[in-house]
Amino acid sequence: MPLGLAPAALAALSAHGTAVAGISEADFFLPAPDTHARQQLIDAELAKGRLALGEGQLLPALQHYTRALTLAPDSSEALNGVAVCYDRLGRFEVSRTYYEIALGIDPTSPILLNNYGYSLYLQGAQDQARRFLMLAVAVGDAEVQQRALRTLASIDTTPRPAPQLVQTAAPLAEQVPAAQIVRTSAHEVRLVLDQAPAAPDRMQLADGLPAQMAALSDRQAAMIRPVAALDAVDEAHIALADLVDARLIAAEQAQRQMQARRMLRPATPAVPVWMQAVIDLALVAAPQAEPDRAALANLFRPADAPTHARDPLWDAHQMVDFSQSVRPDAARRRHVAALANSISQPEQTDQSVRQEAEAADQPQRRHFDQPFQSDDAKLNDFADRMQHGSVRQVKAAQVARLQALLLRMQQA
Amino acid sequence: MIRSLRSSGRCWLLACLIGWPVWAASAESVEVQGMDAAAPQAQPVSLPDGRTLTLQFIDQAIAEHRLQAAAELLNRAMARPGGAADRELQLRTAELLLASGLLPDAERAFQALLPEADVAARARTGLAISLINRGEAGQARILLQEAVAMAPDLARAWSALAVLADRAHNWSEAEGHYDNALRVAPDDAGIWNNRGYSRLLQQDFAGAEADFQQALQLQPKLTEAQTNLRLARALQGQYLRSFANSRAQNLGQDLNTVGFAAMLRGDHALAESYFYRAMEADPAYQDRAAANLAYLKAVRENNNQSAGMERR
Repeated sequence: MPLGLAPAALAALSAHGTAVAGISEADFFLPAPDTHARQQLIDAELAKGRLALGEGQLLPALQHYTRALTLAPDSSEALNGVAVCYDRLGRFEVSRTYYEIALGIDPTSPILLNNYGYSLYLQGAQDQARRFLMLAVAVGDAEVQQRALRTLASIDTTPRPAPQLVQTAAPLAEQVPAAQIVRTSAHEVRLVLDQAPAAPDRMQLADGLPAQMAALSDRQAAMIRPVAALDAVDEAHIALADLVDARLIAAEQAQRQMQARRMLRPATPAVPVWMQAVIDLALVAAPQAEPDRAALANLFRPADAPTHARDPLWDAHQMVDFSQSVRPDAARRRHVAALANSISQPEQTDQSVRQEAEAADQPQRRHFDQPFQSDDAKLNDFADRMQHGSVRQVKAAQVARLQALLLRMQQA
Repeated sequence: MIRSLRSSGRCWLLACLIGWPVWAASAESVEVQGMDAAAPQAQPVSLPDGRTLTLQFIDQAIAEHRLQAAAELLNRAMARPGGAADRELQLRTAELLLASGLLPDAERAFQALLPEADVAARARTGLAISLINRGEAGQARILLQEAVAMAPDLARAWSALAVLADRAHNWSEAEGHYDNALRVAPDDAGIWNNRGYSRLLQQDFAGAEADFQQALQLQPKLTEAQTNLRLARALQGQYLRSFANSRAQNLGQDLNTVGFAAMLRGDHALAESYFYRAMEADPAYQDRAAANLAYLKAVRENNNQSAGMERR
């Protein structure tokens, strides 16, 4: 083994970063190497992960997928699930590693190719995203193709920055004949300024800053003003470049807004209302098993409105169920059932959370630094009760303060 | 900026690591199916195998300095059957060690691969870059010349040879090596950045600016090219333009860079102003800007003394 030194260094490098915080093998009971039981456990964890992810519970989903990964380190579905969770948590660097590990194991999985492409698209790596989405289109079934094509269309409609004109100024050899950077060693640079000319005399105070510096605050923008300004030709070039940049940015923002509106537009019913009523009546007349009935009843209804827990953009682009692309009919049934369940069940609100929120909304009792003092004993009594609750508590506190004072005097 | 330029020099050398071999996709070619007319244009799509993909991912992770991800991918790939004996993976291990700065380990790993014909040229290049980083230019030059003789399309070796020529102030030789490197890899932003830096050293500031812009078009987030572009513009006296696309979090560094350029041009009052502003904008630049201010003061005193002696 010529690289006997490498494992230690590699282990040190990979010791951090991608480990999932708070979840370790010690927290999780590993069963005996009974293949059947192990496979059942893996399947159960994957199913729980899918369910949690479908409900938008990212951390539990991550926990289940990580457990599945502990049992089956080469499971591409578990790797994909972990990556999707990290994607949705915004930790693209970690998700990328998991996708890449998974693609090394299963390079032709259309779901992995699509999800990785979408993740790269979200990170702004559009050329790389295009490559993997095209692969997903090439090898995927209709559903994967649809999702990948949607993302590809988004990439194609996103305006790219126009290639910048290379603006070169006149060579400075005449202006700065003797200013030199001299490299004296590997990391040393020395200046030779012996014959450097004096400062140019054509400088004035700049009265405007380019729009490219809009990201800076006024104070920061003031910092970059030179003591003197450029000549009129340079300023005109800069102003022109700024105008082009500003227009490109505005066009890009408008495009993104339009795209977001298009993605979030609610679906319309595929059939007239009266037909939905007929279907409902027919279902009542011929009752079926509960999940199928719910699925059929809601087959033609529009999708539910997006909630904070489930982002429709994620669901529209990413896939986690590896059986979907293999068995589209079964997958469609499950999808419809999940949709029906999410529509028919009202949103649960935790009672304790609601009580806490109501309590937080109550006006707070005011506190006074000085007790209220008046000539009227009744008013004083009332003020004491407002501040301390009761006269007895006030007296007890006063007695305690006196006792403490006496104690300090004795000690002194 | 003196220190910035030093670190930029390091990045310059590190940028040599960016080039990675072009992989021949060992897979079939398929046509995209199921796309309508409005869909993106149908192009042949090659389906790489798992090993090829993994090697590409590792190369990219090393090039982008995502070293933990590269180590994770390497560990996984090595653990698979036959992985430990895979010479391409062993070469990636050496590259990762080099990128991590573990130079003795990297050199041992590269040396072990020198006799292997399929990776010999790349192993020589990696070993040479490690030697350059340790200041052993002579031995590195021999190795690089062997590497380009074995594989003339090894852009990284040409780029490293150009860097060595730059250090020797042999500008014409450096230009030739850069031309060879860019002919092989015209889309490599690191090589464009290196050539721009070479032109900066030759005081061809306009040419340097064009090269840095080209590098940034290819790789907009290449921070070395961003800093160098500011320097090139400021060295032409275009101070305000040097701050294009500057961000609040980097303002201290940019002010320091432009101040350094102003000092080079002899705009001492302006340089002083920029150094003070750099200290104000970013406390992390207190030391660097203060060092530059001290240097500027020494230069000014030296100039005043020279002027006084001439008057006498």
